[in-house]
Amino acid sequence: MSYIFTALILFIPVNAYAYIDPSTGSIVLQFLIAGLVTGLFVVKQFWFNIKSMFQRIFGAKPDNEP
Amino acid sequence: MIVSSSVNPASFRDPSGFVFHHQHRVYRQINSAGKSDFEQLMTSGLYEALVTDDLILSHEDAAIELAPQPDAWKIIQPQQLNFISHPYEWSFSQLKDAALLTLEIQNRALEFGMTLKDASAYNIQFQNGSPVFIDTLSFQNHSDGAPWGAYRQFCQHFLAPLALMSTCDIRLSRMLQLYIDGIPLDIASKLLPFRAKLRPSLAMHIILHARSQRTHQGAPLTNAQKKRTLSTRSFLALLDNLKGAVERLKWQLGGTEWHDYYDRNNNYGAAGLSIKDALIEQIVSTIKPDSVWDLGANVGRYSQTAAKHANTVVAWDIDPTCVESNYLHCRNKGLTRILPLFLDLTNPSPRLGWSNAERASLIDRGPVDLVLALGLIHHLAISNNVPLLMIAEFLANICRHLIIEFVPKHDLQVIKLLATRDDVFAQYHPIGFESAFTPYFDWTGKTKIQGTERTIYAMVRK
Repeated sequence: MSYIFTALILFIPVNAYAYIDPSTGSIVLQFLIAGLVTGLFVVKQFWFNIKSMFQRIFGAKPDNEP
Repeated sequence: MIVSSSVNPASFRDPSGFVFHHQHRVYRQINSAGKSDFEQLMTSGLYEALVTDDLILSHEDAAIELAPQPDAWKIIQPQQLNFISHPYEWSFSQLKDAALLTLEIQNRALEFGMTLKDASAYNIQFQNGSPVFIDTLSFQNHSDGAPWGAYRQFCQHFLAPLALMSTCDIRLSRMLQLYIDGIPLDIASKLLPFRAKLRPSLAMHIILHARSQRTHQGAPLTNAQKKRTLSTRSFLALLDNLKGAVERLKWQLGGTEWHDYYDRNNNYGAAGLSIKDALIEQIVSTIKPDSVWDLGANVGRYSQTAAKHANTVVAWDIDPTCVESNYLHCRNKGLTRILPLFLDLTNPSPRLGWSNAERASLIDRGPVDLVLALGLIHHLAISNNVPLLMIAEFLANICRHLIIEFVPKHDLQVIKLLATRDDVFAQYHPIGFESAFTPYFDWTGKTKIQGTERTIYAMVRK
């Protein structure tokens, strides 16, 4: 899915001669990307917690938090 | 009370305060505008957490009378840095480590209700072998739901150059010298190879980012956009995604002319190298320098020798592979006194930025106690046609003591350099060398390295 998304934005050339404050585009995009990656992050955290629990049970050193 | 201080020419953008110099020490003035955020940094526990983990420079309070400008609320004296380097002088892994440190600090700041208002690579310096965050006034209160104001800057200062260095060409780090507020994302988008564009993280944070900038260019946020909020979880997800994007960028060492010089072809043999090592160590131990620049340091063999008797050794080299290899070696071995950096001596880092004063040139950052110029002079005099007298004048400008190696025309390296060109270097011989350096330096020693054609001179500036 993400590769289709990537392919769609690849073939259109981009020119941004951004002399006037370009941060609006960055902020708008930030919300979009954060929306896309939050689900993945939640799953990652869930697996991390499960793994840490087993590592604690078996006495192994837990990994760093994602 | 009148105090004589000078405001750092790079420190003018932030109304919260600025850096100044007084009696060769660095201080920071915090204005009334920066009071609230600074107090939050200090009382929230964030400062203590970051200092404990060596992620940020520590500071002490200093006398308010030192304030060089009105509206001072507080003066602090940060731990003093040994050397100021610029991001365009860093190797791939140095920039990558600086990027990961910035994300780590932003992550920690969120835990304490704060955020970074900028993500400039210039907020990071290398001290005792590790990157450290230096800008105490970059922290501000984080309003719940607010997006990361420094996201664009992070992509321009870190992600785009790392992506270009990793996937296109390592030498594109030099673009940071041209664009001191980071590489514009539309240019990065065009330069990224096709395969790199297929990586979702680069497609999002660089290509789509550039597109979004163009779409919204000059347009203020609409009311609907202003009302949008970014939950803490989504903020952390964004940081985690950026971290993954940076971590996945790699650069394989190898393949350049100089990175295996000592193993492959060093004109010395093992015995000659040992003699040279011992000689350099003996001279450096006599000088006892605080600061050393090793020009043409390669992978840092003699930087390590010098570091046994010096506080800081900057190991400059033109080969990005050597700088990277040296940095990774120093990081792995804990060689904290050595700072490997990129430098093209024929075109050294200039003064840059506003009023040609924001970023100091190479010469501005000298003179140092000692310069090592070993296996270097033939590259300057023959490959770059610099007259010996001009080399001597330049070196006298940047150091008090000099250890320099003269490499004569019958040395194998010089024979190679002259193989495909006319020998127009009539003055390039030991007597010509000595008469060029005599106006600027007194000699304290001259030793021919046994089994080689080379001679090492120890000199002191007149």
